[in-house]
Amino acid sequence: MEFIDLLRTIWFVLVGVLLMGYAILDGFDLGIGVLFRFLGKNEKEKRALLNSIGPFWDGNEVWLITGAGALFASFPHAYATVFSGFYLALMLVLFSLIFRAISIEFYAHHDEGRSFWEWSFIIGSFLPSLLFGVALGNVIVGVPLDSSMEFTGNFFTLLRPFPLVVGLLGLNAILLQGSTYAVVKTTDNIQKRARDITNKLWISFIALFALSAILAFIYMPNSAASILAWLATIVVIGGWAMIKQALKKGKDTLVFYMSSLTFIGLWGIVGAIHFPNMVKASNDSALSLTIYNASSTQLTLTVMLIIALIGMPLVILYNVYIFKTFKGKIKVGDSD
Amino acid sequence: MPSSWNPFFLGVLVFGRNKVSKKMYRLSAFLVLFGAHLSGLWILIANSFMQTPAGYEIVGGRAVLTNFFEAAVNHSTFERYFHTIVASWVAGSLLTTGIASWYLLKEKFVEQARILLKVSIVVFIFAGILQLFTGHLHAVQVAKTQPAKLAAFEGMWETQTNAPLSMFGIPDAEKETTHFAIGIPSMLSIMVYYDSNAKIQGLKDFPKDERPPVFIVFTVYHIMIILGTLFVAMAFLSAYLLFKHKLWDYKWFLRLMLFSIPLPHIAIQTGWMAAEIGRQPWAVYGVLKTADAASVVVPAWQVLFTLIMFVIIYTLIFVIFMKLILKIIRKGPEQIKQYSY
Repeated sequence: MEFIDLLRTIWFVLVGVLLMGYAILDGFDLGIGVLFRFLGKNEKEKRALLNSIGPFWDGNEVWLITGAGALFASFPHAYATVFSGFYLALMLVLFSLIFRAISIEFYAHHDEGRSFWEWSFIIGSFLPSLLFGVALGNVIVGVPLDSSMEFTGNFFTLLRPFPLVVGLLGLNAILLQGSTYAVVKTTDNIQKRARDITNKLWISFIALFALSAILAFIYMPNSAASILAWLATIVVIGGWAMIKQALKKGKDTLVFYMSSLTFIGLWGIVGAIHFPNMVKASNDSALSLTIYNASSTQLTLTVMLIIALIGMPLVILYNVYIFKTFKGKIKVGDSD
Repeated sequence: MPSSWNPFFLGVLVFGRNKVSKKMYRLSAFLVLFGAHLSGLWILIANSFMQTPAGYEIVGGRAVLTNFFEAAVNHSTFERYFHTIVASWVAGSLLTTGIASWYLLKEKFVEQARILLKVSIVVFIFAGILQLFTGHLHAVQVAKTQPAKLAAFEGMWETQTNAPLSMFGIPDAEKETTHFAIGIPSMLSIMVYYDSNAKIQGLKDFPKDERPPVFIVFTVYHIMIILGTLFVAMAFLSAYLLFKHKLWDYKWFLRLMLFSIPLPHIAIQTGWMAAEIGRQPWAVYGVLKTADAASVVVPAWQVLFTLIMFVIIYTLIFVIFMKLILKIIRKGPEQIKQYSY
């Protein structure tokens, strides 16, 4: 393998790891957002939920910025195609994330607008949770591209069956992150509800996973031949099965870890069946954006790798530090 | 990436008062301070590359990195970084100065307000005067690397030696002249090259389709200059009162500081408008025109729609933000304990 192809492969994996880190970490606070009214039944409980994600959510979103930034720098053609082609959808995600971010603060301080901010928190969490998966599903199954790497579809091209099912699967995985996080971080009534919801999501997850797999075999017959994807599937199934076990035994932290492991497995499948593509062309596979025709130069990838090798350990270090500092359960009424 | 620790340690600052040691709490404050300055650096590196691109070559119609350090530390990064960072210091210090002044005018939280006023005003004196120098260095850099922009700042059409420093005028792009122009003779040549005989390029030196929209650039630039000059005057006044131990003796001074809170924000916005509109018609100066940089697959109505959405959302946020911050300021420092939602 040539050195530049090694760099391209490394960056394919690194961009994936960053987006996976985002899915797992911001996943739990997005999930809390979508399940806000199901988990918290009165204002005190809702405030406890907000306090459980308070020190983390903005740090978690940094993973998305870093992931998109890394994509921009390492595979600029893929970035340009996706961000121009999916313009409206991604702007919708952006507006949702803006509303979500401010509603967390405004909910606590803006007494007259509380129910508005509650709903904007819920909807602002729901739309990205669904649309990230839809976008990913589109990239994997392919979108119509022309010879200058431009997206030739429209907004409704994005809403085909496979991407929608992947969107629902992603949403389900994010909700599981949220409900299992609530199992870890809360007590009493909220925790009881979180366990119930986890049980329900546990069933719907496997149904959506099976449906996505069937659709994947139909739309992408080659995907069944990937050994790595099958290994990742074992991780998904194993993690998924362990969620139930840990829940039964009352091992709260393990429940969350197993939900996260399931998510890692999902990203493993994505990476395995998608490599070396960045954005697949649905009309003609010769037009696909791959790590070979969409990447930056060797120099750019090398400079970025040096920055990443210095930066990533630091990021992981203070992530761990922050989770250690704020570990422990949040009790209802703590903020009085 | 280096500055991505900010939200984490901001989390410690906001939520962690009872969770971490005093030492760690203080360290977190410094890390947030340091991280904010680093974020600013990377933002300015990216934007400065667009102003004065370097460290790249064009291969097949696409800019390719040839030297990372040349691209990052291009011909305007440091001048622009220091100018924008010091502008933030001015904005931050005038905000806290204004809040402290308001408490003193209302005779509320007097003890804390005096400490806040003293600390803030020391920063303001330093930043307000320092900005005169960073502004000068930045203007010299613009003159040498983006001459069309400087000509628009000054509303100057003819290339000339003994170029005047413009004080007032109404530039007219159609007639290629600036009406009612008042300037200090030779001053621009002296300020840029320390030589009154130095030649400075006028707008007519550039093809019509490579000139920035001169009226707006001239106007916003001069608004910024007026405000910057005002800050220098206020800084000297503050320094005088500080040394005379009379900071809180005059109500008019406290009122002046209170009503100055929005001014640095206007200066920052007009300054950025001057920098960005002054770069037009280029997205990357001399390399890529804005018209050519636009995405070809995004229809214009979608761009318009999202622009309108941004205006609506930010207006909404601004209104509620003002309401809430006023509420928090009214509550005062004594109310603040462990933060939670």
